[in-house]
Amino acid sequence: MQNTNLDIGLLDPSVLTFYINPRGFLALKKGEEDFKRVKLTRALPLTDPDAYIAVSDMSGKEIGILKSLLDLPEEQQKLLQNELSKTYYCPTITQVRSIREKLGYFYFDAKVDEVHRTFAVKDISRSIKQMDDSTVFIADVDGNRYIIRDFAAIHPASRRKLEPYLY
Amino acid sequence: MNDKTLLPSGVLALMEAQGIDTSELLFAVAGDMDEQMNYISAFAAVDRKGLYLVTCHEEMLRAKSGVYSRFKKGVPKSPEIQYTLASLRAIPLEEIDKLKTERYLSSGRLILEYKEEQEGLFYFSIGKMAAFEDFIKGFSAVKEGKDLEQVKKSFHESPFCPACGTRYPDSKRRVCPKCIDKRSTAKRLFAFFGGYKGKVAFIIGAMLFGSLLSMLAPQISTRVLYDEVLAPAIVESTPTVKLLASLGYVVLAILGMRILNLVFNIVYQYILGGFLPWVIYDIKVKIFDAMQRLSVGFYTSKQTGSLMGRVNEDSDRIYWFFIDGFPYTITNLLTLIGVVVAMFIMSWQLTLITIVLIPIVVVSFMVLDKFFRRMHHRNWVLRAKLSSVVSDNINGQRIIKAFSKEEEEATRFGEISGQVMRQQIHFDSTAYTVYPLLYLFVYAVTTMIIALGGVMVVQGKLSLGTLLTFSIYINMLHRPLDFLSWVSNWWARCVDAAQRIFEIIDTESDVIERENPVILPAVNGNIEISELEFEYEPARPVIKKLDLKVEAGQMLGIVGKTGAGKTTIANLIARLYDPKAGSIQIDGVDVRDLSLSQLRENIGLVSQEIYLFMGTIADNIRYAKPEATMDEVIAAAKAASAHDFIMRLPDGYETRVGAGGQGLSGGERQRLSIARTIIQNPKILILDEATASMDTETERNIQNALSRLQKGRTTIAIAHRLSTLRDADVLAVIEDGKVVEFGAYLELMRKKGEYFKLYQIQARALKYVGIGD
Repeated sequence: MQNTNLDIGLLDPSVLTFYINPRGFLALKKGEEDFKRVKLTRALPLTDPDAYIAVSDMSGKEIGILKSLLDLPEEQQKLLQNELSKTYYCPTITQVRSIREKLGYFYFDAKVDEVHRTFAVKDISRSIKQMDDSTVFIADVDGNRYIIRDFAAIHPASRRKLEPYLY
Repeated sequence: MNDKTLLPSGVLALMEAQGIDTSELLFAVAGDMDEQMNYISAFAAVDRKGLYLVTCHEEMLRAKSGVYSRFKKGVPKSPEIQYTLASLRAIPLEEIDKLKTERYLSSGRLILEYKEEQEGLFYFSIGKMAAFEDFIKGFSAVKEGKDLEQVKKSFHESPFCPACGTRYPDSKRRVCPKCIDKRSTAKRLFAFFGGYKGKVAFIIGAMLFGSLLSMLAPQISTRVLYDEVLAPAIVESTPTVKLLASLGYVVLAILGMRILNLVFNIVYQYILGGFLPWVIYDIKVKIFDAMQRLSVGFYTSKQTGSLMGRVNEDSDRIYWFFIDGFPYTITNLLTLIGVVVAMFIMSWQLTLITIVLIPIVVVSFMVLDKFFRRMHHRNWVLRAKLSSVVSDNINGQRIIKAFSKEEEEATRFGEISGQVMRQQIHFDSTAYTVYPLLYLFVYAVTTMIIALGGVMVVQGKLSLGTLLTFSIYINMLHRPLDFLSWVSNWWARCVDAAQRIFEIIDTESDVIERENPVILPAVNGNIEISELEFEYEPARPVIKKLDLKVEAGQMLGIVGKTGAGKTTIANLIARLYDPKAGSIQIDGVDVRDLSLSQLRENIGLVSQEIYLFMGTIADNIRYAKPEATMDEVIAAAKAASAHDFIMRLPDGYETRVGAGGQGLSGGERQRLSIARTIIQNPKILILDEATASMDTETERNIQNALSRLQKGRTTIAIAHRLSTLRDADVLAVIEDGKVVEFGAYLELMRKKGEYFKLYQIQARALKYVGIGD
């Protein structure tokens, strides 16, 4: 049975004005209320990053949920996209040059955001996750998280190197 | 390490040029992004006057092998890099109240607070969080006039190996893979055979001898027979009796060689079959031992199907390679070498032609093997996925049935099973197409060589017997070449299996007992937790600077919302994990210094998650103390209110429980686990939501059992239902990994703070369902 009265605290986009405060942080005017700094959280960061975005104050209290970014004026969308891109920034691997195993640790030499980097990964079955057919996440020993957005689209040589470690 | 030496001389020079006296700098931190999140060399440094934020572009003057690896080496040597200033900002100390960091998904940011206003400074990769937190600690020390050198001692150590500059794979382990152990997986695998050197040497010797015999066979059966016994000229000039005798010798020699070869084969197979199961036993025991000493964290991160696969399937894969693949590899390798040598002696011209063509065949097989290895790994991954789906389904049968999801589950299984099937079809169809084509090429090459030999026989450069022997040798090359190119695939699967096994063996437990642990003469049960910090995943803190104190014999009740970190505290006290920072002391000794066995013997854990091992009820009750007498077992069962239900079972205390055993209700199982803890007789008792999923009647029974158990022990009770904690001497309210309220029940109720709020919420909820008043 479909419950039509679900109150998930959706925000009315017409009463929202996001702006950048003088210190450079995202802030929100909601009707008469003024939130000096707010943070945004995606409910579906992988499959639908522009839908169901929770807006919270800095104590973590949820102000409400934006059902879709596209409901906001274009300028406001840009502001929020910019904030989200920083919060959800994840270095992208575009090329895997080599993966060498030493003492149970895997040393990756990869092109990350167009810069060559080496990082170490341990416990590969836990640190390398293929979320669906296309997205691969790799976490290194320091907690840095890297993403391959479209595994099928990276160079076949890189794919061949990484494939044995996908579980 | 946050030292000012972290600032390269090029950066120091740039700061000097801007009028900053760098000799006064106290320490610094290196970042990798600017305020706009652009990658750049970023540095923050502090002196007694203020904070300096520098960003620079860098250019390699002398690149090493054309690649500059930002993370591989420690401090880049300044002569190799030229810095150009992008920005420099000096903020006076008096214009900063506080520095702090903010964590995002994969990055962090340095935040400045001044007069209740915040300002965002550098972003940085999340891996630099520890360095920035150290920097902030140092900054606070300077700001508050504390002893900086003392604070610096608590800074994280450099994550780079001082000898070679390579980054430690794990900064906590500080083992440099370049400088220490270079053994490959294969070498480590062979190390398991170390105890059987003599037998291995005999087997290899027998194989060598066997190969020698098989190489000599064509010489006798073909060349000697055709050129020295049956050649027309010899047949015509030799008396029949002598000819028959020569023929008899040849036949006997051939038979003798075959029999000898067979005997050696049987002997070495017998020896190999005798010790190989021991090697596999050693490997299995080693994996199982490794799994036992690993912390709980390891198990929560691995799929059970994949772990079971490693213990059984992977070790079997190693067994089959060594029982079958290894002997054939040696014999084929020896045959290959011997045959080529024999061919050279017979006709170097034909051999050279053969040798030129061999690499083409070998390379083709090798390329194909690599290709098929990858395909095989894909098969393995899919099969592991399938077995996880099956185990998921079996474990979740009750839920599946309750939600009527049988069809969906069958579809899920069908989808993955379909993927496995398609991958197998793809594998087989590719293999069955490609290999016959390659064999056709091999036979074409062989025929061409024999044709050339025929020409040489016609020209009188080669005898017929030699050509026939040569053609036998060429055919003898097929099997080793085929096998050796194909065995690499088999070997790769074996190494792949070994690699997965070593991954478990190599995984260091997060919880290690120190060398000379403290053994307390008697455990009283005083617990003091100070500044405790913990995270299950890097950069995601669960416990944040938590303080708690319980006196021996007291009962501490921990309440809080789901996910507040209550169970984590219990796990940390039992040392199932080690904290990231801070300490837990029992009777004044850090749990990390205590003997693990003494610690665990003195901590009894009764949790919502009850596990009964395969065996009888009596075995399960005496799990912690196998030597417990039947009197003790019954007494414990009585104290746990379990005796009555046990006696109602047809087999009483001998009822088999665990996998495949008697089904018991949640309450009955919980009472057995309490009886198990009573036998253990620990000084510290942790009750982690022990009655959370019980009905009121069962809860009352269990509460009575628990009250008896708590007497004379320090008890930490974690509960959702506040009524469960009515007897607690002190209560702690945990929220977001911190203690937000602490005190006795009445004190907290009077305070009308967080505990009072929780109490009211529950009272309202109970009233709503008609239980409260």
